[in-house]
Amino acid sequence: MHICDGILDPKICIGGYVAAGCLTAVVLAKTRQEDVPKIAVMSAAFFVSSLIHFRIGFSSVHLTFLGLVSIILGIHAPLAITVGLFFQAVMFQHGGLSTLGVNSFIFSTAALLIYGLYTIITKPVKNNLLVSISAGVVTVIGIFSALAAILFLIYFSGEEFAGFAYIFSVANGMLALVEGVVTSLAVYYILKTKPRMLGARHN
Amino acid sequence: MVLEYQSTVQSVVHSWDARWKLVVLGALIFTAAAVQKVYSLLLIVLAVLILVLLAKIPGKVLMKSLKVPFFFLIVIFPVLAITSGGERLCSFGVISIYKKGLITGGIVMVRALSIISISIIIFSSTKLNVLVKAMNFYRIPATFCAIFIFTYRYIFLYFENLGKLLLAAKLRGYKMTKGIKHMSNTVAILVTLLIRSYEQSERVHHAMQLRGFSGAFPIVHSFSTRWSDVVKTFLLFFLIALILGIEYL
Repeated sequence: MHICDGILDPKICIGGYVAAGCLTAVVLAKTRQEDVPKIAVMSAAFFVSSLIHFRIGFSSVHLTFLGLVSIILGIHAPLAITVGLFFQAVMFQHGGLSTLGVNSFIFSTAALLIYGLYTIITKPVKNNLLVSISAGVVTVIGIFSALAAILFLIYFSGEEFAGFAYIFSVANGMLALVEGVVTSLAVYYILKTKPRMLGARHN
Repeated sequence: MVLEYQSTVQSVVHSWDARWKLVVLGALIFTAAAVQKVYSLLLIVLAVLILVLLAKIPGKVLMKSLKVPFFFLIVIFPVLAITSGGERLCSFGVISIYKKGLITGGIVMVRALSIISISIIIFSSTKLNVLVKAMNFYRIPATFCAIFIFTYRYIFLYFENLGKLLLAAKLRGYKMTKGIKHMSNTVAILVTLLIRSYEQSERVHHAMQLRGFSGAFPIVHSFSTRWSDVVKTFLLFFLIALILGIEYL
């Protein structure tokens, strides 16, 4: 679900780098040294997730783990996402270096949205099943918001991309639903086995 | 995976001071993203081909790395050709092929493959420690560099652990690609992998702290700029200026 090289206008690419740089700087200022291993582990998970495919009908979709990364890392998620996207771009050519800033900013803001919604919705909830379902629902919302931003940018890079944007949205809409189910299941397993990973309040 | 690939090879691209190389090839990436005209596209392709030859990147490796993006781009091409609108070239029933779509598809493909090739040139010819040292030089915070290095390490740790877990699951009759109904099992394996890696990373970090790790990785590498680095950088900046001149003047 990345924007690949060659599609976006370079002004948008540079703007994306500036926006992602500012967001990363703000998050870095709130990061302690002991957070580093956790962020790196989730960054690697974000990277590896792009290699895990689920077959649906004649097609297959790959995961992003955006929901899981956001819920586990909270406000530190943008750091994991930026580094993960960088490695995806240079090691597997997923996304691209010219669009890294744009992709990073879109995914990071979606991650912060997912974390914010998750925190608000699950605050009064004690039941593990309800927390897991909420995690899945907020992930779907977050990924749809990222998708909307991507479509907006593709569409405004040239009206000839309108048809491509439509097909892109249908294919990735399916991914958002799969990602929601995967996040629900993953959060449910984590709550059962190592709730500390999801934050102190789940202990 | 092209990172650090062939980083021990001797070539004019490998010996280039990483600080200059990152800046000028980064600028070339953004220039490639901006080109629209045929002459500038040809110049970009020519520059990329020369850099690939100078960096001694084997054709097979380059083709293998370009395979995935190429197939993605080849899907975009017909979509643009039939949906872009504008001047019609020919029609087959309800489907029409538009000139604008074909041109845009071609430009997108050349731009994307050029940018990807440049990124392969940068990261196959630069060792990770040198890259991080260059990041330090450009004042990128030590915490970010630490996350960068740890992530690179954990990626391989993940692959190793994933291989072990999948082998164990396969021996029990599990197939990962069987479909959406097996999602629950697949997610259970992934979460197990995540928790194992998380615990391992915590243990490693505690051990590092006990040995005095302060958050920054000391890197034994010192940059030295030679005249040849200045000449290479100047030549590429000249080419970038020429391409931008063709494009905007």
